[in-house]
Amino acid sequence: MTGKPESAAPAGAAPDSGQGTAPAPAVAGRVQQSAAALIILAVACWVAIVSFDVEDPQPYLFPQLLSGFMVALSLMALQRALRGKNRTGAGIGGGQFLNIAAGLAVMLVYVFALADWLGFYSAAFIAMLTLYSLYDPQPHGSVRTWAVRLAVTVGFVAVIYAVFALGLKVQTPEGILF
Amino acid sequence: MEFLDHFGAVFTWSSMLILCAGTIGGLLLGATPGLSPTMAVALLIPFTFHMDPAQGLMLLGAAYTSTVAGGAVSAILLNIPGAPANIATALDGNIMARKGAGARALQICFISSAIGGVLGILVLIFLTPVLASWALKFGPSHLFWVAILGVTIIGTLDSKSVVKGLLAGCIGLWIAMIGSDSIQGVERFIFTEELEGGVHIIAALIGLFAIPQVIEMLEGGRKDPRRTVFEVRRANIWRSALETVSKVRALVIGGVVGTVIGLIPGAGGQIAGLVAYDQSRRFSRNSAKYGTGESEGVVAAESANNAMVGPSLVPLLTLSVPGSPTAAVLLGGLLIHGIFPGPDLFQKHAAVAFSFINSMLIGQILMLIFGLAIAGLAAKVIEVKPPILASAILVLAVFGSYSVQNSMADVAIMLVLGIGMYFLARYGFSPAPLVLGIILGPIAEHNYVQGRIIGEAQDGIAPYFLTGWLNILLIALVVLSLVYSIVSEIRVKRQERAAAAEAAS
Amino acid sequence: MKKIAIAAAALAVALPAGHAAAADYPTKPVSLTIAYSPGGATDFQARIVTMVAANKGLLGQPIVILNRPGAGGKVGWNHFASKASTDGYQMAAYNVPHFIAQSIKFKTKYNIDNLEPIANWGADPAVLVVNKNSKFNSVKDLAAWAKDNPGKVTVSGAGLFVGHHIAYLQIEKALGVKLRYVPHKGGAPALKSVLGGQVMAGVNNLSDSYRSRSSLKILGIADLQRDKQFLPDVPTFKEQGYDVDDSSVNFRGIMVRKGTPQAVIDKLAAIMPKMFANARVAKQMRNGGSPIRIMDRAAVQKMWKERQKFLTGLLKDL
Repeated sequence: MTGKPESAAPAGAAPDSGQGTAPAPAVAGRVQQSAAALIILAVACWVAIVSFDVEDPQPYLFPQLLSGFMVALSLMALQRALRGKNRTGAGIGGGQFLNIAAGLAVMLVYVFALADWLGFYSAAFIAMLTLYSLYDPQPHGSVRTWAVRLAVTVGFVAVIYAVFALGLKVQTPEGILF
Repeated sequence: MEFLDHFGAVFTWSSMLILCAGTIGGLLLGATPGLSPTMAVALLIPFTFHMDPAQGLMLLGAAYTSTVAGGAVSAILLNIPGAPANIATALDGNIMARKGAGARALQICFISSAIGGVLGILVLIFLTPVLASWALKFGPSHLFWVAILGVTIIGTLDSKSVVKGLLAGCIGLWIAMIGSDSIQGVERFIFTEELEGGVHIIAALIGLFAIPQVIEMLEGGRKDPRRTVFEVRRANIWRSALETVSKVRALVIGGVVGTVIGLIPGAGGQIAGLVAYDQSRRFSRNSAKYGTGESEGVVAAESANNAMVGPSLVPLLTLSVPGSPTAAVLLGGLLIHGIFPGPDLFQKHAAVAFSFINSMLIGQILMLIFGLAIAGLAAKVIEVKPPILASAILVLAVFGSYSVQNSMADVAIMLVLGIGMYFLARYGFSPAPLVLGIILGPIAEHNYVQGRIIGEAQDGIAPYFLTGWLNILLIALVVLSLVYSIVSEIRVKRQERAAAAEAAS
Repeated sequence: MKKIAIAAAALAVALPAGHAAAADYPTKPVSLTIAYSPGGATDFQARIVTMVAANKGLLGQPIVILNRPGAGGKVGWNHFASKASTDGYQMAAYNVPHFIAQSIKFKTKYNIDNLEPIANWGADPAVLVVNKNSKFNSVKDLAAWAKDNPGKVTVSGAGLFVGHHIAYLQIEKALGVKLRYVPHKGGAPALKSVLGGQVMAGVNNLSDSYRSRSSLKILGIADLQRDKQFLPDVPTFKEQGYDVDDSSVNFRGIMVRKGTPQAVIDKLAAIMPKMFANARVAKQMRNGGSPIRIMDRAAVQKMWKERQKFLTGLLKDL
């Protein structure tokens, strides 16, 4: 559950670990690692092309230098990945991707469509309730489940409103609702 | 010892009330993603319009000290640093929290913050006249080398693979170049309108740390058999205090690094925590444990962050030169009350100046008291069920990144960077070196450009950057840092090979 | 602009008609967009000059400050000129010559033709400063040394195409010498470079230089008259025989988008100068070392046009 899976499960799990022994970190395979390195190489090449294809090179001195480093480093990463020497990062499994896909969709719709159009607070309410309900293990059929979900969402959005609108006087986009 | 005479003004009922309110408010604001100390102080200045100057400044002083510490709370509990200064705190602090030691991590964090903070303010009180002129000596060439020194720690920071660490740093340096540049008057890499203003460091910070966190909580799907709720073990304050004080080396490194970096105008206290963390790891006997929930890392990072606060005000109070963005905002707060900082500040407005400094000293103590009081309670945050926590963090991230500049573009940038970081993290990249790149990129580039112009006007660019004792000292440090990285990399490789050979036999 | 259309529809239901709206304007708080960060000089002054807006006889409603910083002001002004409402409830602060120079030099969504000035509250002239220990004691000293050492005098200032840069260009031209401009990220770091001796001279704000006057020598003011309140002893460039006028003076004031009803503009233009002249405002501004210069709408319109013409010529060959 950390931003860096490999470091959360160190070789000799620390003695005060409350979760028992962590499983050995899975490492993504050669194909996935190589694909990742290729994508970064592509970005690096794009940065290089943009940086060198300019009329006035002076402001682009740093980008040019940097893109050189980026291309070299991503080539190194690619070479290591191809030889199967890249041993950090668990990669992404198909099932795992399906699990997060719904969440990603909620995030993107929330930020790129709802927030500005509906208004910041109503969009926050909808996004939070949707994301929470989608991943809540409680049964969807029960009234109690929905009561809890609604109460938690309304409560949190109210706290956010109190902090940002009343306390900090932040003016958020109003949209068509609120 | 003149400052002792002015403690009377601090110990009145109304002043203490203001200090307590400022401290509690500061802790809460600091813990909110998106509200950096700079923002918090800026937001509070209008409240001081109607106060008398001394009390208005007490509020600002207390808020400044406590927001810096408050940023550590979300860093430790949620792995979301409240401000760039708290990135290093998250590296070990969050792992401690995951292992059930969240309360202990918070206690250690507040205690080391207070130690560092008091040290920094004492430097401000006693050494200001000596250090003020020294701080001014830092010109573009020196700041350039300071930034390069920061770049040398990118590769080893929080990454198992040096190549990937460096690559993450490069991505960060590139992100920092996006936008229009007021120094060179160019617009670079603006491929959509949202990027016109560049990538704001706070929006990037929220995206890079908070969003991967949210997505990972969703990885298991709706019915995740592996899902465990983190436990929060109670922690004894005295034992935490003893543990903190026993980390003498980390405290000394944190205090010294924080003080020195705080003094350098323009270096940005943002990197004090990271540099102290890195140095402390290099000189530590159990350096291998860093990144696995080692409390020493929290001690080094937090003592440095707070040690930086006092010295960062040295150039402001004596020369009216704000050395950091927060100091610039504080300057506004001073001016609005008709107080012009300068060499005669301590003669002309002694009462106000000293009650400001004293309030920060008392603020450190109050921060410690309130911080310890909430540590146990705050740590319960991670007991919240993952679906609730994930959706709440998402909403908080959106509001936090919006409120930085009232900009929807920042929210979009935050989310895109965050989703990108999630995928990068799956392949062994870490957000810390990336953020460090975003911070250091502009410092290195702006100072190089300024140094080039000044160098051309003088004896040439190379002599400007390479001569003078301060340049040579900094270059030596850069070389040392590089050599150290290479040596330790070779040592790790050798150990790995030995271990592999052993396993094979 | 769906949002505005819907909001307008909602307003139309709530209020009788657009014309009547102007008569009892404003009925709710008015926002003021600042294109710079909180705590900066523009933000700081805007907060002072608007603090009495809710008083009787003035606006009767508070003015809420909305910071939208980025790209030297371009982000905030672009957003304002393209997205702000034209009902008078969204205003912005302008900085001349910055926004005019940017509209000439870059592809921006704003220019003096799609914005309507309301009134001006402050003017911060640029001054030429050197370190206390500098060998230069007057503009003449500096000009003489620069004549013998072309391109050797480094001059710091806050960024490109801002007041400091404009003043630098004028000074260089008037002195007839070759200098070297070192852009910084804001006025405070630029002044720091002068104090620390990293550059030989600097162009900076009068107010900031005044505060650091004990470690500086202030050689000249780029304005038409001396500053009687803060620096009565510092001569203007004109007095010293150099042709530098007030084109680089940093004017700050309030504007709205073009398309705002004339009745609302007139009402604001009548109220704002009174608000700026309020005694409490004047006292706080003086405390902060910020020079006040109140100008009405007609005067600002004239000033904008003059700057537009002057800057187009000056920046043409840059």
